[in-house]
Amino acid sequence: MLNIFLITFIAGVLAGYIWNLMRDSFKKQQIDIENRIKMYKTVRKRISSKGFKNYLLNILLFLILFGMGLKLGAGTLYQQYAEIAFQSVIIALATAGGSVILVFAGRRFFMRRGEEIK
Amino acid sequence: MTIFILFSVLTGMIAGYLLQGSAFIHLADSIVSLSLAALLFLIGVELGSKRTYLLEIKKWGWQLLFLPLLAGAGSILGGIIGAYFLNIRWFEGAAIGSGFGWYSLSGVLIADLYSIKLGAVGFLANVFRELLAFLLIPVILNRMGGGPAVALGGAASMDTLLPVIHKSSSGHYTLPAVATGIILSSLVPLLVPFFLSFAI
Repeated sequence: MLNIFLITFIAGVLAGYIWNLMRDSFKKQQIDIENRIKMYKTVRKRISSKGFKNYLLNILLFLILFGMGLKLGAGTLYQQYAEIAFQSVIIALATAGGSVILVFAGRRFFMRRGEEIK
Repeated sequence: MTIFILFSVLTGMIAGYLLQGSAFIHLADSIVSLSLAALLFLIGVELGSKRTYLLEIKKWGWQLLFLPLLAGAGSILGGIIGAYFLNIRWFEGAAIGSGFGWYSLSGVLIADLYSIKLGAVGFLANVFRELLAFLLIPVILNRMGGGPAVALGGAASMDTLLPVIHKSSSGHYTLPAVATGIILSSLVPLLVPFFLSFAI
């Protein structure tokens, strides 16, 4: 997991940061304000408008989940382990449950912002 | 969100079943990896362009560490409890639990260091955990808050599950999810061999 995905994520953060700096430098220049605002609005509309971004995120999320389902349905990945599936399900439930319960129990130590989400 | 996730996985499963043996199936890995990379890049752009990003890190502070540590401890404890009910040795359950959902590495590590059978259990248990997280993260986030939702994802919170956490929490828990994923992923190669060393 500490691989290509982490690198793309960091590249994304850097790209966003640079984009932010460029936006700031636009502001500092204070020349041709009308053009700047026009350009900023156009680019912002294209790149980071909520609708477009959500649309893209949904398509990508669908592709990821569809790909996972495809492998499950084709049985290329998991078929050979069918006989030990029961043990795996129990351990999966226990580990996932353990994490959720412990974090939920200890949430007041670290989740000051928890209420904001709800 | 849950309906969307179920719909995506189910259509994929039906397509996979109908296309068994077809060359298209082998494209699934590439589709998933490329989409994931693109998605993480987009989320990264959003985080990076946020003026408040550094302030957010400061605001969370040491609390960012608490979440992965509690999630990790809970996962290991859960593994030990599960092992008790399945009548397998405690350290075997702990080793599987310390995979934190990273099925590819934990399964291989356990199979290589201990036994192929336990490696298969470790692999599948962590796969099931990820599938469970895909379905339950939106529900848990609404009912219990962001912390338990991120904990459920474990190590996968920073990659495959990050889009789900990001969307479900409107970006509020993206940073804790990435921090949790990085910390738990770093612990997997250390903790799995540690617990398996009790076999000797």
